Amino acid sequence: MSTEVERLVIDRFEGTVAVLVSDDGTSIDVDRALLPKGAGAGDVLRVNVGPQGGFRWSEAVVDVRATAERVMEGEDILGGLRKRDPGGDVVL
Amino acid sequence: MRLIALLALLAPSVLSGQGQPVEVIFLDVGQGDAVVIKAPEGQTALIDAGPGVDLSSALQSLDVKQLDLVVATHPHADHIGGMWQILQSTPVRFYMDNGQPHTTTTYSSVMQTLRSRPEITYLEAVPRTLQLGSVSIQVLPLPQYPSSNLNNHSVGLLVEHGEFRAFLSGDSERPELTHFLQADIVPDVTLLKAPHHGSDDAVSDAFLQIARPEVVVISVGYGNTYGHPSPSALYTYRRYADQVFRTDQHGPVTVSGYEDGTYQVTLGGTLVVQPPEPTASISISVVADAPGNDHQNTNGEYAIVSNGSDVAVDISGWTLCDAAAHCFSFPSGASVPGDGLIILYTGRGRGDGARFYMGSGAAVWNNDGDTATLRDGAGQTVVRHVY
Repeated sequence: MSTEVERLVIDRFEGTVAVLVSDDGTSIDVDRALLPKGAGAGDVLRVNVGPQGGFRWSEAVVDVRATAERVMEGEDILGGLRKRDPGGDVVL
Repeated sequence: MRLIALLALLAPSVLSGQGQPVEVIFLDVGQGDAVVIKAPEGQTALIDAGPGVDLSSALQSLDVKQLDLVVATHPHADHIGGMWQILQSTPVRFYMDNGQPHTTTTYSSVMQTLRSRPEITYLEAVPRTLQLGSVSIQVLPLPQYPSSNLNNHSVGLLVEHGEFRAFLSGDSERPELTHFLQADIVPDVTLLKAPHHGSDDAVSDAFLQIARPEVVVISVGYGNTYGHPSPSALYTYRRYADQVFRTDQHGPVTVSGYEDGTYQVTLGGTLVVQPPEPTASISISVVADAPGNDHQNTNGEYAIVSNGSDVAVDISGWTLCDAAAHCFSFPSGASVPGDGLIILYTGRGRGDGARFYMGSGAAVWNNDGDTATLRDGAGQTVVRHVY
């Protein structure tokens, strides 16, 4: 039986709580201590899902490649958007 | 929708302002930020778009048909969760963010939409003045080097209408507030949006001694699990400001600022996006220690969701999770009857509307302590029970 894997992004930390966001936009609060050692805000995690739907945090890993790809996509779009900026003060 | 009688609170020195005011409206979006600015001449701006709630009805209530400016102070989900929907539903002329990419699909969907919409002019968050009718919005310089904590790279805005000044800076914590102070760009202000939802790490005596706000508004969600606002932050704000308002307690807060520096605060109205009352009386208790071996008697442990009001609460699509994120999603049609309860058993069984089953083959609730969190369909925490 194949294990279901979910991708979750560390959106931010609120004290000891890590706020994760799934690809469908759902926010999940998790104890920060359950995350892989060294995982930081913005990291994409791959988390195995158990048969009852619970996340297996001890098996979670940082998806370094997906993280880098998403940062690059954001940088790329920002680069294009900056070309629209007329510069200086703006009368709205 | 909650209806609260309009309550106008006048500053002691204010009986009538001069001319038409700028309105700074803090929407009640739960745990997040969404602030509408309306210039006297009708131009409008939206600063952040909340944690994923639909703002369109609130904007319609405010007669906002177009947004001349949208600012995403930083790309955390509690500030841009509703941004994609805004871009789909409301014409937007100018868009500004902090220029820092994020990796969530929430962020990605916003950026891809902006890329596909050439009619939206992107503005970098560099020091500049944005003129919104007679209201000028100064964009404050960001810290030179991005922080791994995007809170400290929030776009800072100084909204000025004559002598009335409002300071808004997303989730700035002390490092960014200190940066603003060191840049000598913090004036005496009338209104301060409490940064980072009134958290401990976003309160600075040094900042408040310079800003000297008369009114502080905290945009914060009812029953949030992060401890916002912190008691010490509230205490500090109350020491400096004449009035402190919270969207979780007061609903939407509108501060009308006049050119002579006077202001008026209006609470409530029909602008509530997320009414807390229907769920305010919901509570949770957990029976974690099942008779015998917990793993072999999974229906010996259970959670009870009680409703202390006399009105049934629809919990369709709500989730109940333990601290390790073992979650149960209540099915469509589920509700907690008025002055009644429902029981969620850990094991397997056939639900009947009063009893629900997680379907787990093992115990879920830790006997030596755990946290039960009930969230609504939008993912907002309704109540949290720690034992």
